[in-house]
Amino acid sequence: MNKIILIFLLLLPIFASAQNGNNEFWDPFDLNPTTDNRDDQEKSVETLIREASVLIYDQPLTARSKLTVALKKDPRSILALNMLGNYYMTNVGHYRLALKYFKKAEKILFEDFGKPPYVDYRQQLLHSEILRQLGAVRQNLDLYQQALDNLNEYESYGYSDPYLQSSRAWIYFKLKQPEKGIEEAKNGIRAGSAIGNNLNILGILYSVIGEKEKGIQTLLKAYDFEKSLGSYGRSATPLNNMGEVYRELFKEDQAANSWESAVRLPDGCEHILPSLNLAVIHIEGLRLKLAEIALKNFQSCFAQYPLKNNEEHQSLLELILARIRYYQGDPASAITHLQNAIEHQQWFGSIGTDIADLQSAIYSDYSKSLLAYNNQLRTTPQETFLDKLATWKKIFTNSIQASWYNRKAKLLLLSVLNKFEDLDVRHTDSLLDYPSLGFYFQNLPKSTARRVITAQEKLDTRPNAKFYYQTYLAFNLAQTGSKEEARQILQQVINEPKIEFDQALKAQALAQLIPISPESNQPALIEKLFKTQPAGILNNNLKFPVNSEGLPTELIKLLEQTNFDLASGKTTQFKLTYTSDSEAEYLTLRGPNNYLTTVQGKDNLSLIKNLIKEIFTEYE
Amino acid sequence: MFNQKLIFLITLRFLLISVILLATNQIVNLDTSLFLVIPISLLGVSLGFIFAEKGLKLLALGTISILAIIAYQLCFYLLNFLAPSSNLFLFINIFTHLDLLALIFIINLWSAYLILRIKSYATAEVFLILVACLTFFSLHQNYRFDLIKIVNDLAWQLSAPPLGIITGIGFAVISLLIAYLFLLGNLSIEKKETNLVFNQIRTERRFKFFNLGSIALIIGFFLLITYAVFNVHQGKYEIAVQNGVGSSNESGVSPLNFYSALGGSNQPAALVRLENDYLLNPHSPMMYLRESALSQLKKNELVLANQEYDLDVPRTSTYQTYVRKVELDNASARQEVVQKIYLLGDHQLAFGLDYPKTIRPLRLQNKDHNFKGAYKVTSLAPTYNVEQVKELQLGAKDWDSKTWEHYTEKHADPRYQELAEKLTTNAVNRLDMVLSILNYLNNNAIYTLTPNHETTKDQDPTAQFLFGDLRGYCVHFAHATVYLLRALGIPSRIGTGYMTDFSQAKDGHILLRMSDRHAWAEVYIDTIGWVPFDTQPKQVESHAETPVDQSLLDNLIDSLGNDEEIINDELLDPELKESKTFETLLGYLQIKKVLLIISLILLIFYLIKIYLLLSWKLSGNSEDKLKKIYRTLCLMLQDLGYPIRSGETKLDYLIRIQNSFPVVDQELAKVLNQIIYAAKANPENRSMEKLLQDFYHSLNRKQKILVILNPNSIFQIKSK
Repeated sequence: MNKIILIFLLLLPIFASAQNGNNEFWDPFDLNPTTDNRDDQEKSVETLIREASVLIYDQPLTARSKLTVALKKDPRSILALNMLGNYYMTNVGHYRLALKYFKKAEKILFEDFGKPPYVDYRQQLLHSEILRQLGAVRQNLDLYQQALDNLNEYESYGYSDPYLQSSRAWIYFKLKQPEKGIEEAKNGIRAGSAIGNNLNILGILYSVIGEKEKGIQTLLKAYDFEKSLGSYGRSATPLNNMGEVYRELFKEDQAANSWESAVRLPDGCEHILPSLNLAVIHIEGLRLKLAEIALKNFQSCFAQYPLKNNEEHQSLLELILARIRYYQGDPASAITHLQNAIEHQQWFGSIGTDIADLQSAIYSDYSKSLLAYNNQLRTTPQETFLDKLATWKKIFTNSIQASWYNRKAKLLLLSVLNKFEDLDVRHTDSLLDYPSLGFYFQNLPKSTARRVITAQEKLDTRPNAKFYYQTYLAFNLAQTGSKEEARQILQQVINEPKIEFDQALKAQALAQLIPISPESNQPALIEKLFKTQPAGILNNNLKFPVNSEGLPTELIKLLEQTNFDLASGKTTQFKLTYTSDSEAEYLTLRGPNNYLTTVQGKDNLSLIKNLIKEIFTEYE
Repeated sequence: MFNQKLIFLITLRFLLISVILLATNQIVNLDTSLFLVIPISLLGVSLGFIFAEKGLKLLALGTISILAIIAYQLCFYLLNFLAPSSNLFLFINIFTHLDLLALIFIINLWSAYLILRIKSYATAEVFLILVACLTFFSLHQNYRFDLIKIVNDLAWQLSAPPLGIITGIGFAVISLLIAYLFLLGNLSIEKKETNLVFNQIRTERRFKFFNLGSIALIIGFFLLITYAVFNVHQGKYEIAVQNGVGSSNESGVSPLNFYSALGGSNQPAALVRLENDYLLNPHSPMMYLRESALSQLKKNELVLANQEYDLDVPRTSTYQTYVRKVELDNASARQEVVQKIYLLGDHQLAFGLDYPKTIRPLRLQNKDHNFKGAYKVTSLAPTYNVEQVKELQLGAKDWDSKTWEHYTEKHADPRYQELAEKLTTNAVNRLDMVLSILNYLNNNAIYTLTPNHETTKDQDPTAQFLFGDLRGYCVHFAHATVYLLRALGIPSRIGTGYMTDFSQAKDGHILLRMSDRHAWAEVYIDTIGWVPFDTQPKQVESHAETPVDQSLLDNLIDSLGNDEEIINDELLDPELKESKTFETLLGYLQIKKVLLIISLILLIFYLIKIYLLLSWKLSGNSEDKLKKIYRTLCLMLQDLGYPIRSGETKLDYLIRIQNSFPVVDQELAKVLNQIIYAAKANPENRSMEKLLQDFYHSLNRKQKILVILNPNSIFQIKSK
């Protein structure tokens, strides 16, 4: 983008002279154009534009004000309009307003100089610049067809731009026409224009059409090319895309390496995606602390863009934060984050995914978090009857909301997202939480679920993806009565060594398996889940067996209302012991392999709440 | 095929259901087209009423419903087998929509059926709707109107206060339901089937009160209640939502409130647009926009001092020009920052970054906006850094003793002195003292919007906070800080206004919300001026922090045009202009309110009047119709100046008026007496109707107008 601004600035003198009646010519070699101490109101439009173009980097607000003063003086200043549009697109990310300025500039251009084509070179330059900016801003506003029309129009007048082919290839990708995109990118490479960009989009498109290895090779070339450009290169982009392809191929280590390298590169900070992807893969492996660190990196990166606010990508950020909280056992915080995600605006012009992907992920996570929160509420002891009543009311409203948002997510996935294309595990555009996607299959007729999964397994032959599909099927079978078959499938999945990276899937499979397993097997499975994801016990309303011998009766009564299974706890190695002193009461849980944790509380209730938080959750 | 009243019933029910569905769709977005949902509701309603009218038993309908559900499920499974694998998702998609439609159909079918079958069902249903509405809108409790999106949206679209919107919605819902109940209660389905509820309605005394007059009165009553509720809460809301930070320009008065602070409201208060970069903001990313300063100690609180003090605070209204007369001697560590402030809520006083040099009102060019006014502030904003501050003296060297005393006046309670000294034992210099006090509060006190202290007027609320549970909000924190500082002889005061997080801004545009209202302590530092020393408690029990509504901010940025200053001439006397404008505005608002109330009362009266004049047309019962025709006739006569006298019989009355209106026949009274006193009457409705019509046509134009417009008869209904 800086290059574009640079080119734009170099063209400024020519633009300036293209204005009607503007006689003051800007001297580009005047290195100190801001020494004019007069009030802005007294300066000419040209002076103001010139000052703004210099100040735009260090004092963008002052530059913006100068441009608005210029526009007030001359509302038909195409240059001021164009610069303001560019400012809003590049510095602020307010694309709608940018579009307004560009369209106005275009309108005035047509009024002043007539419709194109233009013979005058300066008018051609103005027109081409406006068209290109219009294409860029429309792309940012997810108006892909219109953006494509702009670029085609741009080309039809014989204007040239090195980024034309790569931009068009990207738009074809967004319009789900990968073949046309590939053709366009190849043309770009042949023409020798913006090779890095063209190679990058070509790699993505190869991956989209299923040629993953070819995609990786192309992205490697793109990376090498960008790297060869030194500080001008943008090598983080192909690295990030490479990581995405590795993830799709279930090569998690390589994917993580790519993203970690991308984040460390100078332009890595400009992208949310490496950080976001890194966080997602850590979540899938239940390395939740690392996921949080990855997101914090992104947040600190974005602090460098104060004018853009933290709005850009805020929805994505909130979604992933919510997912971390969910797996940490704090669905209440997850709900708050998801509500924020719903509230925030997100543009996807420069990201492969789109708004429906994001919404479906937010809605399904929201539904899932509400249900998990309900499960936690059910096992939280309440002091008074009124508290119980309030909890029941909350559970009731949460359940309705959960089913409603589940329906919304389902409709989006089925209709907008090309007949559930995101079912393809780790689909590159999707933001869904794949380990828990089985929820969608629970209420389908058995035969439908089976047919869907069979069809999907035929389409997607990746070995690791099969574990996911089988888990989804088991979700359905467990719900529709074929518990034995579900049990067998889930047993296979959790014993599969290949899913070591997919700890979240394993936890989900265990949570499904426990209720349909024979009672004698349940304690061992629960302990397994406890080791994999402690919060899985809370989120799925399961009972953790503990030996409660010797505890005070009142404490036992309260414990019985919680996630602790005291009845079958006598045989377990986990034992609770109670002590107290003048200041507080203490509960200690001892388990195998020197597991030891102690909590304290003012009274029995706080003691138990603290114990639950301490052993089942992973948030601070 | 159908009874006319049944069709009316279906229409009525359908209208109610449609309103509910439209509102629901607006709130939660059904995702299924209303073009499908509404017809399916109509089908459900129609079938429900038809089944009830045809006498279908409850058990039979239950069986039919269960069979229908089974058939639906079977159909789903069958089609599932038949659907080609390539279109399986389309099939699931369609059935996801159909599930909702089926649910809506069943609910409508059963509710319509039960209305005619079970006496108290309609009441129960209305009760349920009210409970649902209350549950949904209960989110607004504690003035959190921003939590209900539809209230926020409507308030924004209509440029109305959210409190007005929510009371308006409450009134609309109640009126709608009352009107619905009334219309439902006035229907009787003439069918020989005995067990229909509506056949019995007319004969039951408890439904008698359901006439239009009483309904109109009830609605009127609710209107008055709504108005009263609005007025009662308006005052509380103004104070409560602003973190206890109100607005006042009167010397000796404090705009702060120790007892009411509900600060979570996201309601927009103003949009601040920075016209130039303010890179050296010492409080970055926070920004303090001062509105007023409180420096005079008045018993247990700090209040606005007289005009001799706090000269840096403009005390200017938002539509008044202000030009700083006194030159600042401490402008070195300051930078000129221009802000344009667009008001979205009512503000008495202009605010801005300290120290404002000039304030000028702006004329908004773009009329299609929600701004209530705008002004431009040019401030000399601080650019000092912490190191610089450390080396400087507290207080100004050139202050006279009176000023020193004013800014260091101590609270009478010796505990402040004791605590301050205890906290600052290890302080190296006076600035260290300030920081020690802030640290103490930051580490030990809890920020909460509900401290729930019980204090009488004579008690000191700050002492209750500081020497009590240490729970409070900005008002408590700021007072405690200043009292402790003054106990050490450090010149300090409280600044009030807005504190905002600039990182939530976009393109230099900051959306201020009510939750950003704040009060903070300030210390005077030589050659720099008043510097905010704000507490940041580590323990936060409740907080007003909510993300800025970005789409709203975008829309506001979009809507800003190029503004121009209203008054460029500094010599223009702003005072004169302001007071006139203010008075005119006040008068206009008062007149508007009175006119509105009168119009509404008149409207209610004339609705009752229209009903009284025409209610006989709605009556299906012959006896009732006759009574109503008689009542209409009496009312007309009443309005024409012929009231029935005390002790006068109907017959005497008719004879009396016969002279003036020969059309009125004595037969009318006879027939009526028959109806009232005889066991069975045989009234001739047609002739009575004709009599009424003849009477009306016999009147001259003036009398006709009088009959229609005179509200007198409404008050005399009982005496007839």
